[in-house]
Amino acid sequence: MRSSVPLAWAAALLGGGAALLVTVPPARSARERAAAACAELVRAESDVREIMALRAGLPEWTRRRPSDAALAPSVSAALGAAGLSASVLSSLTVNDPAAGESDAPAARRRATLALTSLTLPELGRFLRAWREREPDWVIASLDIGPEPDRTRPRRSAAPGVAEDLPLRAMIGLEALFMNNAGGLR
Amino acid sequence: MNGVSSSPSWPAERFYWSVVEAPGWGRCGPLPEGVRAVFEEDAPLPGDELHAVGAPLGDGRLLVCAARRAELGALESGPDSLVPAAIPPELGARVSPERLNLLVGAFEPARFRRARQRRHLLAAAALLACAALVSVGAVRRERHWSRLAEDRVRRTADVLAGVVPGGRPELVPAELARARQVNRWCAGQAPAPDAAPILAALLKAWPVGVACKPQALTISGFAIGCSVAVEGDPALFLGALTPPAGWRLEEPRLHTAGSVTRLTISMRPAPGAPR
Repeated sequence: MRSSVPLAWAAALLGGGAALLVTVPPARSARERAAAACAELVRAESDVREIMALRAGLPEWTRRRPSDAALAPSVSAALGAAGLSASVLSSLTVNDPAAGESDAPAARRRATLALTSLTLPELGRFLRAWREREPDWVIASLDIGPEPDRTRPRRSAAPGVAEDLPLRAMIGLEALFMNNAGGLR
Repeated sequence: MNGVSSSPSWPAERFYWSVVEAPGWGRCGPLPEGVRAVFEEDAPLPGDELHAVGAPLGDGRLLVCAARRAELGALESGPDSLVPAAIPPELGARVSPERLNLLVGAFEPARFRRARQRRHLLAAAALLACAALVSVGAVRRERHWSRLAEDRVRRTADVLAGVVPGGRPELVPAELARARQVNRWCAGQAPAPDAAPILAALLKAWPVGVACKPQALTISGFAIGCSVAVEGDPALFLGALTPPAGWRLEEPRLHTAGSVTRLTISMRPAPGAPR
């Protein structure tokens, strides 16, 4: 019986210590993991709120995606829709985004369209057709003048009315697109 | 000797007495080994025949009281304690005889020893039980916190699912920085103003009742320029020309050659006008 007391204490200390050693450290690390996960959630919610607010604050044009389609078929289609023959298209020049813009969140693409031998009403029809078909490509500039080699009207018109005078029109087109890399998800 | 009492006292003559130096020792009861050796030098009997206890005198000395082991072992009634009835006056010790209980150590009553052992066992069991309870609590908390962490990780992924690929939290700072950069950049950008409505507005305001010959027309969202040849007085044309809404007419330039006046007209957006 005398030796049972130290044995009992040794067993209690060893058993209790071992039990605490096995269970308490995992509990503490689990608590730390839970605290970190809670903090992460709070931070994520705050970040997401800010990201959503930033995205919501972007202008409407940032929803546009660059079209991979070439511009020439669109021009031909607009000419057709305006009742014009393809021969009025004198030139079409599409400029790639300037160097350095490819890294920017958005890029401005420009194109210059030269139409010849068309009247003012025909130009108006083309512009209407273009705006309906390609709203992302804005008509940024218009440069209209009489055709250099044809100063006489196609058909007689009332004095002061220039609608039948053959015109040359340089149309500057511009589109602002979000780059894929800089665009919104 | 009082054999029937549970706390008998023996006369002082039945004991062996001594006073030894024991500096630093302040407890009553069995002698420490070092003091016991000193006492045995004075004892008239071999040390293994005596059972000695001591009581500190308070001046670094220890009053030692011993009895024969054989006599102590012969106590039949199992008393609770055994103390001397008095302390020999020649020792000059001012200690209560009650402090010199001989029934300690090897002669401790069995029931006392058993009770003490029982208390020890109970205390050890209580300690073990407490440790077990703490361990069970720790296991339960570990499960709770693990579930909580899993839930929060899942909720974090759900929150981030539509914002970053795979809902991975480590991608959030980069996405946030990118969103800020895009926002800043886009705030300074705007699509070019549409020139077609400006042309329509200009044609609508064009003075059709005045003879003129337009030479060139340049339109953008920021300026309208036109060159017109007018036969005769250009004031008629200029008086009839009104700029489209939101535009203002700048001072025209005139070049007259004979009867034809060439007008260079420039218009700018009016301040504060929407474009």
